[in-house]
Amino acid sequence: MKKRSAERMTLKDVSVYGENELDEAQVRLENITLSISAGEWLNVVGVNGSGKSTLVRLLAGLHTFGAVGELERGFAGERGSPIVLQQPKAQLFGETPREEIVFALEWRGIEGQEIAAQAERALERAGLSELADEPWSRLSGGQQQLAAIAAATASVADAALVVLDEVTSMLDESNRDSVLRMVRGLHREGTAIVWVTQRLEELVPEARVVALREGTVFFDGRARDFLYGEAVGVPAADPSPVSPCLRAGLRLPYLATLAIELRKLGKLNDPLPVTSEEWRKVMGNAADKENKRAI
Amino acid sequence: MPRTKKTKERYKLSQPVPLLLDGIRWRLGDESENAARTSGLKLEPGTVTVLMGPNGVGKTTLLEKLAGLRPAEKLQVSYGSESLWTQSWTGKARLNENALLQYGYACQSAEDGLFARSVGEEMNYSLRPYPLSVEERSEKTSTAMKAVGWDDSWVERDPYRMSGGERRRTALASVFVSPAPWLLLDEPTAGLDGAGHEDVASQLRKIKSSGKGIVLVSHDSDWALALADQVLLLHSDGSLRLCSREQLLEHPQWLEETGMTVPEWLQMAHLLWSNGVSPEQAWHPAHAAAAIAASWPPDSLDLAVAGSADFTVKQMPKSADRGWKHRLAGFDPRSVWLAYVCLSTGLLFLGDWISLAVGAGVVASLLVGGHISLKRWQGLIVNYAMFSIFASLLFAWGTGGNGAIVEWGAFAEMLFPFLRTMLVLLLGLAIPLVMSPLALRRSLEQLVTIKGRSLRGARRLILIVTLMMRFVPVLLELWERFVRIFLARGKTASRNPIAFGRKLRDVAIPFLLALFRLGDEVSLALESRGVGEDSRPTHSVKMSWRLRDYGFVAFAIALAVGLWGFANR
Repeated sequence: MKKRSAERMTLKDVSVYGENELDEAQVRLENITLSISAGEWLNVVGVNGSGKSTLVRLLAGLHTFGAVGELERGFAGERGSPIVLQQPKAQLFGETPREEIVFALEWRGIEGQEIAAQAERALERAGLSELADEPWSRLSGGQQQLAAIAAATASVADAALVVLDEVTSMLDESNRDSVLRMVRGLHREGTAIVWVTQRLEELVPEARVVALREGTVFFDGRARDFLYGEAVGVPAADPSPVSPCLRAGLRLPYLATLAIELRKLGKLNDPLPVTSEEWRKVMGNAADKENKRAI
Repeated sequence: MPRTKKTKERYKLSQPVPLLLDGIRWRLGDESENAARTSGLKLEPGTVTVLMGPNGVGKTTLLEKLAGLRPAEKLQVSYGSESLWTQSWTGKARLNENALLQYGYACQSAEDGLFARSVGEEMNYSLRPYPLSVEERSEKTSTAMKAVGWDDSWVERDPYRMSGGERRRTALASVFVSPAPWLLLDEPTAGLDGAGHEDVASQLRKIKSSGKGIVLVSHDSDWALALADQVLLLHSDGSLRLCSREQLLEHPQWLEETGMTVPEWLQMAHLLWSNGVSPEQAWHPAHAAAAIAASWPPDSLDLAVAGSADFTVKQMPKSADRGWKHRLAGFDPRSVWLAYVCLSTGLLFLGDWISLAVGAGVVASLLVGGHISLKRWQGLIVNYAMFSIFASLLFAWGTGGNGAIVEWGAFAEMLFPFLRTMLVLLLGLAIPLVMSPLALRRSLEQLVTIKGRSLRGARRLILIVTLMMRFVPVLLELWERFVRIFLARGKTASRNPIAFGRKLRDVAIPFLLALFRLGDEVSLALESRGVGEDSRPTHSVKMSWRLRDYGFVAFAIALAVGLWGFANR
């Protein structure tokens, strides 16, 4: 890994004022204070219109009208960071993965002789070597997203930060897994990731989650706490949901609901399971205890 | 008698009808593949069917075929006794408007299709094809608005002043308002908040219990299956498997057979079911929790104890056959361009009808010989032809001296240059089909590069032009998308000029709005690629002319000279 500035990226009291289609004043983000360390993985969640996209465009260093406050980009550097969006067709300019990556490398000003080899490496990292010269129509949505990520990261030397704005929302489970695998690979190499998602089953228990609600940071903590909250001392009959996820207006996925219900019934203790491995442990333990009891 | 016809239609609309599919391979839940048949697939009214399958298998396409928004190919769809496509006396397939009235359809991101200035107008637009009284309309409108959590005061609200989530609710309400016996919904809850999911779910339950049928595609599989009666699994070979949701709970691997990964939650629900939780309880986590709680050890559990866990990640299937490239892609793009310029010049020399016919023959044989299909541009070509004929007619109208309305000489004289230009256009349209825009950009940039330096203005212009070429198919797709929405909501297959004008208006507004959004995303993506900053791109491949490029251009020059010679014979 190349040496990078270890300075944190910080936002202090950042607000974004904008106008809607009818020139009416509108607050998109209000007093956001946030910091990201080099190499961190930050999940950003929130309902539509909560300001997710505005925030992550700001984090990517894209020019944002009406932004006030302090933004220090620290490790991410002054140049804009690569950003990948939900719709592959708006962000692919070539006709094949190879052409796309070559286009990105050319605009980065890489010497002509080196481009072919660099493109080959980028394709390999994305797992697209075999599909490098296939037209988009023959690639799945997930493969198109892999190419978009490869091209976006190829366009910046040794990207310190990559922003992915709901890149998996149109994908099924197996396509999503391959995109996540690639992004986790980037993260392992030391790239900081800002991952915007509507699909909460993607969250890893210890990962950091920032939840937005009406333009403000409503929650900033671990995914497990975001899904389940702290149930300590809360009477079972309390009507307001414990889960910050529910309070942010999001829908709790099946497994998370199951865990919360089991906690309510006094059958599960915190920390509640998030991943399928953790669930398997819980179920295994239940079976073990049951067997012991039977003997 | 129109009166009785109206009442008859109204009677039919209130009647639940089954949705019948023929001409598609399908089998029931546990039948083997050999049992597959191609007729008699029937979805009963009063049921919710969830359509599932991997990305790219064609769920949306199938839904659009059910709605008659795409040519049905072999699939025959009927709503009760109304079949979707009928044959006209010429043998051409025509949409049956009575069948279109049998469904309400919400496409993905249905809010993109909104165009009216108020919620009430959107509702009226959806109701317009149906013979309903004023009272019935207003009653249906307020019911539909309640279904998305709104009271009547929202009727006056302008969808353009709404947030994305509110616009989606407007779009859903304008589908719920439909009196049609079937609803076809493509990702109705994508991007909706938790409360929105609950509102839509409870509305779908109500619709179902009123005897209507629902076909649903949704990525939120846990949300959708909790509503489902049955599941249609779409395989990559295009065949279907119809099973009850209980059967899917029992055999989640059927999803894998379609190429999907079984979602983790469904693996868990399956596990719960095999531990004695009833299927009815397994779909709803709260009920499932109560059910297993009874059989669990009395003291509560911790996660802390170690257990063995294995986690397998499925590899994505790779497409089996290799890429296809047009043989002209092997030529230097500059030679293709130069050849095009030469040939076009030759075509423009054509001065009489006989030489024009020869020119048309040359163009046709080039297209056929090069295996280039202009089907992608069909709409554009037809429109250009119509425009040419119409403009020429207008020019020649009333100029006839002795009583003729149209002077045919003037008409032909006017039409001639149009047709000549059309030949040039047809050749030009073929170029982006055989060559990628970025390769074109590279070749054009090399043309304007002198001693390794290119003009910044020229470079920018070339980038813009080539990007526009790249996005023409995207724009066509976008336009076609709104045409489909128009057909699904307007329910008219008529082609008279008034209907055409209405279509133009109702399609153009959402199209332009979508265009702005697309432009926004494209510029963002370009900015993030480093394009537009003060950077100077490099060239990975220096293109060089080879012998065959000279040969190609020489061939084009020869053809052009031949055409010129023939024109001056």
